[in-house]
Amino acid sequence: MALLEVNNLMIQYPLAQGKITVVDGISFSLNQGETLAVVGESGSGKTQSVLSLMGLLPDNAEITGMASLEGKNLFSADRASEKDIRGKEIGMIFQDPMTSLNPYLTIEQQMSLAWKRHFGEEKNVQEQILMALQSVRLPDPKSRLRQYPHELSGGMRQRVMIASVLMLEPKVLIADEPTTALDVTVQAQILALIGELKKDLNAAILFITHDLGVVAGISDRVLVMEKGKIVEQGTPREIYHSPTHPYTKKLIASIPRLDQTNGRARLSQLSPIVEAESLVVNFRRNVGLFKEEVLQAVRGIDVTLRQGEILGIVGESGCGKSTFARALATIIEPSSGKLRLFGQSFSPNNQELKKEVQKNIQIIFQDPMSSMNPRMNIGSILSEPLWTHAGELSKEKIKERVVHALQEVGLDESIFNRFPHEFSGGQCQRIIIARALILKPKVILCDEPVSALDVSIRKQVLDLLFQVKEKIGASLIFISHDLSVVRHLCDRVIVMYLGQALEVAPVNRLFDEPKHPYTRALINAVPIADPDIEKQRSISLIKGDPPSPIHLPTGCSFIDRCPNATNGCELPQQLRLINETEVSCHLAK
Amino acid sequence: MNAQLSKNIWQEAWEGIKKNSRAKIAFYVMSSIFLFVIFGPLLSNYAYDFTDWSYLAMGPSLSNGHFFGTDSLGRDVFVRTLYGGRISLLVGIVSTIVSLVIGVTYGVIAGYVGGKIDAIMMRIVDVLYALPFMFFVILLMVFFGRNIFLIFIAIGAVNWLDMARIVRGQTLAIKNKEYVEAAQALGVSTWDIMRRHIVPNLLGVVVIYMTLTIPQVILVESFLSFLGLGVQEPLTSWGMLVKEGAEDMQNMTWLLMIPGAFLATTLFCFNFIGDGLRDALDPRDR
Repeated sequence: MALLEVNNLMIQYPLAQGKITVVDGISFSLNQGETLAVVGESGSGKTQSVLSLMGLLPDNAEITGMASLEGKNLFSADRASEKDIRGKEIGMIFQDPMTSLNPYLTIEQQMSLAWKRHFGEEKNVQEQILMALQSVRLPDPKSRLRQYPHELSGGMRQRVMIASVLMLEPKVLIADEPTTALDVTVQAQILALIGELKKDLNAAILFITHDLGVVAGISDRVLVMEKGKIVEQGTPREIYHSPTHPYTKKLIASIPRLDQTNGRARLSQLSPIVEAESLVVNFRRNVGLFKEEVLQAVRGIDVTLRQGEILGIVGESGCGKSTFARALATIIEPSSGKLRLFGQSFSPNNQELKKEVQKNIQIIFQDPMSSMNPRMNIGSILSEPLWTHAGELSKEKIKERVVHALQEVGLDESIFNRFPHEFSGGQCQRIIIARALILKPKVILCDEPVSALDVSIRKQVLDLLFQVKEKIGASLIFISHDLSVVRHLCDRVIVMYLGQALEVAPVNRLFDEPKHPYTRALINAVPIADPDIEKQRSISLIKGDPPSPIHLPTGCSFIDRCPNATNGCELPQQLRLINETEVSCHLAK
Repeated sequence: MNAQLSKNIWQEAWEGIKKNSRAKIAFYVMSSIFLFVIFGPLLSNYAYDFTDWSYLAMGPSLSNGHFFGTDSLGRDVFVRTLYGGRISLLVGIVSTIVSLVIGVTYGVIAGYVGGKIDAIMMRIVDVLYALPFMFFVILLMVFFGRNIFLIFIAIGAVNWLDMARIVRGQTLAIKNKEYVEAAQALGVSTWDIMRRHIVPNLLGVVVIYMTLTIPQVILVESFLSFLGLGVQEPLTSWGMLVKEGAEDMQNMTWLLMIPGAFLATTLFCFNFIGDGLRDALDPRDR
């Protein structure tokens, strides 16, 4: 008999207009030592179904169906035994380790709470905690006990979270998007850890994710959910290589693969429109009364953006990529360095150029919802750029251009008087694209434009972005932490680390022949949505997390984490040209 | 466009109130009290300062036209209660609007401009906070004599400090939203950003705070009147009436009960409406 069995589970919520069904009769089972991946987009009901197993759904949820763990019915359990099940029988790891750890408790206090709940006061709690922390390979576990969550990095926090769940030795481990909030390199570390733990403990794992790539390597079975139903299930090979359901096919097709060459990339020979020379951005903040701390977000980058080019900027969170792009768009004033825009040298006092920049550099942000004023209707949102920069236009003319822009992104004027919250994420991002293109800018700056969207609409939005860019002949600066998206969209890529460019290269060259060890590590860390490749791949993980931009290493920025660090790395590195690649590693050939 | 904006928030507020039955009832009761206070005096033959020597200190009666009775000076309590209501509600609403206009403007500027200007503006608020309110009112009374407009000024001058702090805090949060950054990047002027992007998004908080301020102001006025610093006889307010009623509580209960009931009902209504609006306009609920 299976360890966990779910039969015809249905979850509904009563609403004023009737009932809404979020999970619609799903059945599955999970065996000892098995990893079951539940894949689906937001709203597919994947999280709701596992929360129901834990008894964590809100009180107004109506649950029908059966769920049993080792033959015990999970739904008949009264409130008291429900709490025995939580943690001890079923452990859960949540998406964001920052919000799932209490910021006011030390790691030790945090972890002993659950222990005491299930096993009472015991003298060896600390020992147990230490063992658990060691089992998740947390460096220096003893000193961590007294630390607070904010003193740990994201990856370490997720390790602590996993340790505190594993300490209770649950029979089933539920991981709800455990790596979504983490950087790729850290994601790879955590995935590797989960894989190892699975082997060591022979645990049953329920792995929930929206990203098919993540689970290709570690799952034994995959279950695809759409709109509350299971549309397909099978082994990873079946799902990835011969999907039968159209939704699964669509999902698989929509994942950009890192190992596929970008066919449309080309190097623009047109005139440069943005040129930066040793651009530096520092932020100062007061520490205490008299001391000041300098955060060096961007440390001297040279870049040239040519007309019609798509320039990708990749790097882990905190590497300064957003700051750098904002400095190029003159939203943030650079601390030093030269900036030439549209052939004119930029200075903050040049009002005319500033106006021109505001008109010709448009920005698309990560979260489309929050980049529109919730109290403005779509019509006013889209006409704002026009009356700011083309005030001489008549009302009819403005409306005409807004309608035209909407048509361009596949929407029509019927949405004129509606408000942002009435639209889905994908539609919102279309509206934002319409707003960005309405002034026919020369540069569109995209800051993680698809990270907040579901996988299946990402591709549409990216295609739209590309079409729009081609049509108005603009250049794109594309910031992303998602390397596969960058590979498919960009012409040229800058790899940033701690405020510096470590490698600048044409896209295919960068991915096919990465020259810098950091680039290699980044590329290596991205899981590939193909179980065969994923299982054979030997991943060389880089250790640790990106260091803080306040205390910088003196030599090569990457020295602390670099696997090939040797003599000479302690000296500052300069970008040098090898073939078409510029790389700042003295070992690169 | 602005019409659309405000229509939207008021619609939202109204829908929220309709959903919350307590707030809905409170809203209807409040509207009736408003109408009653405005048009009620037409039902009576007496003026608020008229002394009816034939009916001194009489209880409520329908037959002689003193629906709520008379006080010890023979003045009609019905008309006096309604006139008192006009004053109380006027003080409540005018002072709130005064504090709203000053507070929102001040808070938005301090919060949005930030930096040194913010620091200076908020320190001024801190200094004003430190002035004892009663001292301030007594000082005003001593210099200018008792005057209803002084009450508006005094209360408004103190209440906007709270409003400014709340608005500044909210502005700081809204300022970091991506749509404000988008507008800045687009080159929308500071004034337009404040007017189009920040103020409309503050409305939820402001409307709620307003419904909570009105009863507070009415209470403050009652308190001032109670101490004899409020409106001047023969004009009256609910606070004054309650004070006078309290003096004759044993013999003439109606003098306390009737204006007291109006005052209490109004305060309850505003509080319920405020609760309802808070739920209706809370962005987390959307």
